[in-house]
Amino acid sequence: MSRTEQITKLIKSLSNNTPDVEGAAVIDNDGLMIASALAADLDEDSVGAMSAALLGLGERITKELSRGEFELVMIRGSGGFIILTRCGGEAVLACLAGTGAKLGLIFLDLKRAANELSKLLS
Amino acid sequence: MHELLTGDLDRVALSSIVQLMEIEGHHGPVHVASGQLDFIDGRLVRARFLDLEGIDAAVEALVRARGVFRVSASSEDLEGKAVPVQSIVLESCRLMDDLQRYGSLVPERPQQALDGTVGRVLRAADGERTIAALLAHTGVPVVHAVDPLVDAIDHGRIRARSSTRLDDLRLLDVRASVEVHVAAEVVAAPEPAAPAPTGSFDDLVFEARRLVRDRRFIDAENALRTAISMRPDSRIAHQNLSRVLSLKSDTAGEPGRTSQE
Amino acid sequence: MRIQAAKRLMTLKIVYYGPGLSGKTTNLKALHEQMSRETRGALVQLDTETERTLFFDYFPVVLGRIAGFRVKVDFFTVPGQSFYTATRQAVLDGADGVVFVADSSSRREDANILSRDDMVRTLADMGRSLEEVPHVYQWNKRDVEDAIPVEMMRKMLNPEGAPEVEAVASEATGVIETQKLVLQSVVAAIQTELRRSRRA
Repeated sequence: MSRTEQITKLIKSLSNNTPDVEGAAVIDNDGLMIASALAADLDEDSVGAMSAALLGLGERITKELSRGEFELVMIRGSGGFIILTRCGGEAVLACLAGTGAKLGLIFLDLKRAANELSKLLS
Repeated sequence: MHELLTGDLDRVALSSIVQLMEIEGHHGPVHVASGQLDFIDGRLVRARFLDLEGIDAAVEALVRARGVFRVSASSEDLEGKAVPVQSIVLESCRLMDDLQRYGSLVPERPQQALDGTVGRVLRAADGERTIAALLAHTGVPVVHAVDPLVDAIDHGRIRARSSTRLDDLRLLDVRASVEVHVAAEVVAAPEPAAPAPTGSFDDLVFEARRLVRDRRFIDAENALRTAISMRPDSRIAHQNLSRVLSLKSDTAGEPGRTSQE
Repeated sequence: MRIQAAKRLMTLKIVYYGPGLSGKTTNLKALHEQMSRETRGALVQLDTETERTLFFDYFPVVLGRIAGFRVKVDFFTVPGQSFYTATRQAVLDGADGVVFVADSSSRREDANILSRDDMVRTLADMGRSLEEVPHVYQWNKRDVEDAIPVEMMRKMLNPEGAPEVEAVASEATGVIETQKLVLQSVVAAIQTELRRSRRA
């Protein structure tokens, strides 16, 4: 199985196995999509660009306010959550979740997936 | 009485020494600057440090004894109630943690009518020095000061800044792991000649992302176009290409870094 | 593990880890009460006001001898509050076995996860991984109304499939089972290690 296939499989299993996770994607620091398990109606171009922008901002804020290493950004809308977390130095894992999501569980699964991904990406 | 072991407390923690004494069933004193701890058959039975005695002296010594220690053997018989070594080690750790919880104390006027140890520490507060530094400066024992101070801060009777200055903490040998991240200076290295885009679809896409990281957008674009010609239906490759084109136009004004130049 | 060769004594260290107020101290107190007076040591508590550090030690009869050594077990709990990092490190240092006491209340879900993360990190700081430390999970407070289903807790906290016990420590339910289970795991690990070193 190629690296891309392994990465795609991993994020698909994340959205299949974790209740409330509605989609996930791995995007590099420049906003280039590495793998995606997002709903077909989402514009992947803008997901990539927005993730890169948010990641850059999140990292800057973390640094400016002396909060150590950037780990995670979460946005909550009335229809659910968007969570971005680092997977290795070069990429970020984005995840979409529904309103009633169990965040503790999602954070945990994201962290595990991010660990796996950073191995695959290095 | 003869000397068994000696060393520098900057290299070996006193807490390790006393645990060793317990395990080894040591009989005799452990000397440190300004105090000593006496063991009978591995039980800690007497302690003296600065002007403290007993458990307080033992805990204070674990927190702040410095310099040379000497372990001697002795056949002298001592009376005293044994103090569990583990609890003293843990208590010293707990005090060091509590000491770390707050940064500098904020001097407030009029100075509250706090007497005794807390008053002495507070009168020396200048809004700069941390609790650890204030205790070192005033000579007030950690065992006497930390709990009343932390309680007073927790109950809002004293104000403290919640930042900690690590150099002060080091005075009391609090182990703090600090990672210093130095931004690597980016030095523009001479560009190697761009290889013709080759390899599998996957390789090309990975290569394109690496090229983007190096800000070589034209090379990245070429690699992605080749990849798309191999798999025209790949959404990922299309997304990557459109992102590269947009990054390229964003940085159009800046000096480009492509191998074509 | 501490070996006192002259006394032919092996001291094992078992640590009860978990978020604040998950019932670690309740576990140790219940355990202490249920042990016979002849074999147990004194319960030492450093601070009774807040949940800080607690430990007691005793000679369990059941363990008998390992490799010709009498076995003594020291039980510890750690303070849950986040600022007691040095204390947690000192307690976890050299632990032969760990009981992770998780709070079943759904409101403590994140606290459980953070505490487990902290445990993994503290072990990593000392160069150990959770896989190499025998450990068991206790799903405590099973009697609370908003108890998270056990399958869910397992998924969140025990992906490695370590042994588990359900408990209500305040009623002393599951307390002895937890202690037996962790000691079994520890002894099994020591025996594996002994066999390996003999072969080597």
